[in-house]
Amino acid sequence: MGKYFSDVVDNAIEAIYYTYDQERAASVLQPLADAANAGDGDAAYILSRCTSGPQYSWDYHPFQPDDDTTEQLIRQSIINGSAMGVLGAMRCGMLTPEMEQAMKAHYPSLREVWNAVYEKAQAGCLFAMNMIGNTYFWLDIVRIENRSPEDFPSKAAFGQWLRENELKCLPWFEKAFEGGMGFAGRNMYNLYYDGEEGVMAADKSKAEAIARRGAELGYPDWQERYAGFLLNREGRAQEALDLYTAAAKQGQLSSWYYIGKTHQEGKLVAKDCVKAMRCYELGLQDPGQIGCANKAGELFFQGKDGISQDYARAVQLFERAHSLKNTWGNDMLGICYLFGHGCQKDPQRALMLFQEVDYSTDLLNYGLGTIYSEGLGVPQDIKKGVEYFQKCKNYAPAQEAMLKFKKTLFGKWVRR
Amino acid sequence: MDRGNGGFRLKWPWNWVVCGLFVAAAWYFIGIFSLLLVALFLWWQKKRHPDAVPQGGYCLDRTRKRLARLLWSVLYLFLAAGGGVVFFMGFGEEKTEISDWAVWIVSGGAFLLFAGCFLYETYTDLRDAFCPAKSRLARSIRSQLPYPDEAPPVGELFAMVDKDIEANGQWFDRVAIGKEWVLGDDVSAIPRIRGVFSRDEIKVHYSNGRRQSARIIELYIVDDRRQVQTTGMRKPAELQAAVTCLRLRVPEARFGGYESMSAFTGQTEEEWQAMERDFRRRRDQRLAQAEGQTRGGYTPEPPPASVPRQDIAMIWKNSKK
Repeated sequence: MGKYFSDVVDNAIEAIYYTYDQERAASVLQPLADAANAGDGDAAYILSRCTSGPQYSWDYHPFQPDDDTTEQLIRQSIINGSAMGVLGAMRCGMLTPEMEQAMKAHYPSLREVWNAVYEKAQAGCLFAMNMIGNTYFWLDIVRIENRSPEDFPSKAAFGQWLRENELKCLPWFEKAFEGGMGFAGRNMYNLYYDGEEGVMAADKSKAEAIARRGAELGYPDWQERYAGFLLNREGRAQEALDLYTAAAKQGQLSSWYYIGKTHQEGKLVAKDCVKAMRCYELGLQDPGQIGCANKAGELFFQGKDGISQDYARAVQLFERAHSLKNTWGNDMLGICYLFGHGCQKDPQRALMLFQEVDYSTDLLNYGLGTIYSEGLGVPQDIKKGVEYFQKCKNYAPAQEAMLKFKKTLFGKWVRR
Repeated sequence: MDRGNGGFRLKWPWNWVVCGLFVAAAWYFIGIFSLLLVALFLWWQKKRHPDAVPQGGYCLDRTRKRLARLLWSVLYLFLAAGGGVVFFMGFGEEKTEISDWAVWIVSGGAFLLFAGCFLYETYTDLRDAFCPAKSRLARSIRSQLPYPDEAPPVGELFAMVDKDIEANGQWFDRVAIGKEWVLGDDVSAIPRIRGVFSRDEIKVHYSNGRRQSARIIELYIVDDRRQVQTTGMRKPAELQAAVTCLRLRVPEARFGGYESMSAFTGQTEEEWQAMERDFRRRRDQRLAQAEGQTRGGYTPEPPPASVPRQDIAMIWKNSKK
């Protein structure tokens, strides 16, 4: 038997929540699955968190999300008497009346469930502390204590009770965070950073202090977050770069974007696009990395400073970012489709991409100008096309394209 | 006759033959209006095929169009005939007044001058139209080659320019600007261009108390051998557009008005060499930047594989067995 739960569960919690080690996290999955199938409800619950998506553990743990499996595991955890499973199910809306009935085979009420986890928290379990903190933070405590506005003399009194309870999350989060669970700092940080109407005002300096503490404790996600505070601060950019590097080396893949960008811009360090590209490529190991996809795509599109122009790779990367609902590279991607650079010519897709964005660049105006003036996929409208060309006064291709047209004595734009 | 691409087109030389015969036949009935009708017909043909490459190519079409300048020959011929009649009639006549001598001498001079013009114009027009190898255009292309004496046959010369104009050419009135060549009355190789000068002047002069004005719209291109290629244009706006286009193609060249051209071409050898060095330095910088895009640079290796995403559903299911 482990200190708080079974050996398997204690090991798994430590590997997944108290360290940032992908291999170690991957290695506990099989024992967890075996234990879950052997009737360990807590193992089933921890496993369900692994399939719930990156918001339930570190972003870069190698877990494949799967909603169906999550639901099955949570049900199994409740049936097998996991108190954590019940609180987890309540948090994600899976504590249906049927499940509540199943829960009663082990715990008479939610209060007993909460007490079981609370005891673990008081005994020093960081993971349980975080769960207790969450029951306050998300106000699940209202359902747990079976309270409603009718139990209070006034609405204001109920409001006051809610505020007091929500703030009770802070000591639990803080304790878990300081104890070695970086994940526990997330909601605490959000509460300080954004504030909560009627509960507490935003306190960005406190939020920054949390990020700094997380960085000091060596949590890579907090190193990255704190570096974000330092990046644009006078004289602290080098410190930020060091933090990004430390985070990236621990596997925080999104930090490669900032390191790459620093090398590409050449302000803090000597400009080196080859190094920048290497960083972006490392960041791209994360399929959800939009920044690296865009910046690497831009380097391939422009093909300068030592990077070979490769439109096909650029299209692939911009498409990847676009599939993640990001339109930053739409102007370059649109140009590729418009002229068939690295892909099949498709002016209609180009137009669609251009119309999606809310920014204006020379490339975008040049592309739109070409589409309208040549009538590619739209009725020809030379006047409109020329208006777009005129927006990019210092862009030679647009100026050259504009020379194909002239204004007649009657003010109509025609082809020369 | 060509019926492709939107209706029939008369092929060279039948288009000119038919036009000539028409003018000759219709002149009797409608006089000078026959010329207007021919012009209208040619304009209509052009309008129906705006983007069509002329038969034989742009260069050959340009040399053939020299035939139209035979009208100037006709004018010179009339003027020479007029002068000649006065001159030869005055041969046997006694001249008592100085003015008689003056008229006789001036008419003789005019006869010689216009007869010369007639012969020169007729010769050059027919030569350009029927012997393109000796045309002004062919000579100007040869002059742009590194070794003009070893130039290929005229067919290849014209094809070289036509290919570029067809693929990349932008037309400004009578001037076409491609990526490699500029086709006007003369041809210029874009890499050789060192100066571009435009002239849009209204020349006024007085003759017998009458004010006469003429607008001169010309594009002058000076190459690295200080040769000047000139093209006459009709529309000032097109001249400016052509200059803008050349500015985009050869940003390092000197651009200016006609008045500054003689100072440019008249530079001393040292000044010209200094200009040439500066030109090459700036052009090399620009080309290096552009070349960097296509030259082999860094192509990243795929990064080392991180821990692959674990299919927990599968692990869990397999564990049940």
